[in-house]
Amino acid sequence: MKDVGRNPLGTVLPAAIILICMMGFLFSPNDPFHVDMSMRFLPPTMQFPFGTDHMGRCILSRILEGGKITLGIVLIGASIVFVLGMIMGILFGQIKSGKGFLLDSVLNAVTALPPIAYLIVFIGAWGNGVFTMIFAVTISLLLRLIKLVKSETEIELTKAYVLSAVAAGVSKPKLLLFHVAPNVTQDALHYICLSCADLIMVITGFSFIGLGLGDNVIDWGMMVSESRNFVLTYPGIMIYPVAFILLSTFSLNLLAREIEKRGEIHA
Amino acid sequence: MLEVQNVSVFTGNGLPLLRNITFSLGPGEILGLTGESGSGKTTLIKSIMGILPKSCRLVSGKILANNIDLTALTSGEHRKLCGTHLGFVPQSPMTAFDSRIRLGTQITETLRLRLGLSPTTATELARQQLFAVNLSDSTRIMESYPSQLSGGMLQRVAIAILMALQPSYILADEPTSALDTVNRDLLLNLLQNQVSRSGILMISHDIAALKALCKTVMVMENGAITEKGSMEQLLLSPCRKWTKEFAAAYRLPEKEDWLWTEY
Repeated sequence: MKDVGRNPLGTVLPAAIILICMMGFLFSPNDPFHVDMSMRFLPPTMQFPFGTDHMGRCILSRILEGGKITLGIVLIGASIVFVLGMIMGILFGQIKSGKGFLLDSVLNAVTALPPIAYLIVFIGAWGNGVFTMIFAVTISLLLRLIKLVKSETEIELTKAYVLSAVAAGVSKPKLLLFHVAPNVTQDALHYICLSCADLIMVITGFSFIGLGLGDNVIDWGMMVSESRNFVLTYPGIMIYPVAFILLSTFSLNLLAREIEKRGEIHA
Repeated sequence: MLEVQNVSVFTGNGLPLLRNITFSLGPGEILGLTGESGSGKTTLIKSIMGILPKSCRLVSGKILANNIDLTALTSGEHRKLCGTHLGFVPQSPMTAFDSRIRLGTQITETLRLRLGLSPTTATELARQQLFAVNLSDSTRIMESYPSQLSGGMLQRVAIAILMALQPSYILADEPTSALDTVNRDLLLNLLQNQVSRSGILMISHDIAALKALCKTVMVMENGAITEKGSMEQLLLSPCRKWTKEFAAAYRLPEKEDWLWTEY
């Protein structure tokens, strides 16, 4: 009964697209940094499947390398956030009401700032770079997820099944691990997937305006930015990275929707 | 002996939920508890089980189970007594199970954890107990998620777990609320049989059930026990307003098929 009306493709396809965007650099046909001024603006060929850009570099290889960086930052950040956020959120959530006042206030104050504000502050303080980006992304998401998981935990703990579990004599760690955590996971994952899609836009947006990941690091936003001057004559240079940005954010949104649907079965 | 002595429970902002509740429940005894909705019946059971909401406090009084003071125990020690000494049938069966775990897993986990059984014996015991509560299709029940069963079925699953655990005291919060007559009678029979091994505190609004099972019935009003006696006694000579209405409502269908009205 559980799988009625669900197409496994709905989860597998977006996950595969994200995986290809992230791990594709392993199979890139050319060196993404190799400049050859004699090969500028080549149309797609067997050697350069998406053609070459204004410096004669292979566009496909650059897109795959850019995917590694952009999605790498997002996914590493997201995994750290998920693990820490779940643990801390659940632990904070079971503090008796009244005692957590200070914590509540701090969380509320800190999450009132939009994530972009954190990115600007950290980039301003430490200069641009991949690790600054990972750090800023992690911090800005982590606090929000802790807040989400914390309030979800508080709600779960008042539900009748938790009381029944306690009445059947389950210990507190077991209760949190086997009953509360699985029931909170779905919303946390859903939130993370949507935030990842947002973060891809934020990271590409920042590097588009030049606050990116530093010199010599390829990412999709920078590719779009570099191709601005040639977009009328050689639109492919811009269309390919934009298509990949679209595809990956779309896949993450699809995944989020799929996670949401999966939860409805149990409701 | 389960003894509740002068127990008072207040909410965080100082409103009384229970005032000076005192009663005792021995093995082999069924004690009925009835009263208006919101009068504190469930709160009383929750305070015995140690699952009061975070915002409520047990202000004064003692709860003794076999001479162990439950109010002095840490929550960890309290939980060790839950399930084996104190059994609880929750009021709303639809929300009493974790919606993400198959019922079979929830039943066998509880039995393994509380009784120290091996997985196969736990499954075997679970099947037997499900059969005893008239859920003969135990394979399907155990494969199901809580949302796939009806309230009455879940209520019987909860009872099945309780019967398997054989606690010394059973606190049943409206155990027949979602059951049809056949299963209600079956369940009351089960409770009746259980009484040789345990003391039972049963919250119910079912007069027939209270009359048949309980020697003593307590009536709660605004967090205090206002009347106590056998059901017949309460029906014949109710003292308080609520009990009078309750008794009148019970007598009504037994009258002729027309009613006296004043002109």
